[in-house]
Amino acid sequence: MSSNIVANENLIQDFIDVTEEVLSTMASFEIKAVEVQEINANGHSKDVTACFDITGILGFSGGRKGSLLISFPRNIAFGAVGGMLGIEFTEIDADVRDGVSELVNMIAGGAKTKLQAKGIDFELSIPNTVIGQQHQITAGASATRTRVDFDSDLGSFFIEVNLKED
Amino acid sequence: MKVLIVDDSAVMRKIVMKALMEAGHTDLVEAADGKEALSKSGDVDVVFTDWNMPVMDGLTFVKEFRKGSNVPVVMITTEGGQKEVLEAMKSGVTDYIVKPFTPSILVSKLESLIKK
Ligand SMILES: [Mg+2]
Repeated sequence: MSSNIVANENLIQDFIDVTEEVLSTMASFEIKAVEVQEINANGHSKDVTACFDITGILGFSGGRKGSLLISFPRNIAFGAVGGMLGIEFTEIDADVRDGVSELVNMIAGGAKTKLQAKGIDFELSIPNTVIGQQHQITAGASATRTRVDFDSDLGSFFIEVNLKED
Repeated sequence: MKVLIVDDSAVMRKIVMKALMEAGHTDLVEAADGKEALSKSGDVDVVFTDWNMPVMDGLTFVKEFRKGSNVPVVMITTEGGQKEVLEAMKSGVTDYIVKPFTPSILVSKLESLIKK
């Protein structure tokens, strides 16, 4: 059991590192992971995630199964995608949605590369976004679901890593 | 010199085009998937393409494109694993950029390909 937890923490650290690298490199947006929690252990219902205003989501298949989501309050989505394009956003338009999709795509791809080196392989789906104040996402019951909260100058957002056991 | 930029993400195409334009490369064409790219690739000098795209992915596009062209193709993708890089190179990709990337990487790849 304890070795499982350590192994999982290593995987999550890869997702944290990649998230920080992607936002810093592509958007000059500096963030810091502030909290890592197992969702099921914290009073959340088992398979529903309460999200911010815009969420990018991408599935893993073909090996280890699961999903990754990144959920932003609108102002952080504007800051992150605005940083990528060098422009300012005031509404969730096609570019903001596309930018958030591409962010989750890059984070998943970077994590995939790191996990592949550890013998964990999977294919990535095409990313999607979900929009709406306080929307919820059902990622399906799974053995391991971990939420990482990040802090930035614009406030906080989170990623959720959902990896099923082999 | 004409550069074709292929990516299903409009934001990613804009990022690539902005980097190239700021470096003085302004003759740019874009496509959102491999199929559209094939129809627009007739007279281009360099191609930058994503891998994961709907309709026709980047790998399939490069294999098709290579049947009639030896123009340099740079794959820009999140798929940075050894297995993926090898597969891309075997399919005819000339060079490889892993996302996330800085604009300077993009421009230096382009300029080194032009010199060859
Ligand atoms: Mg793509």
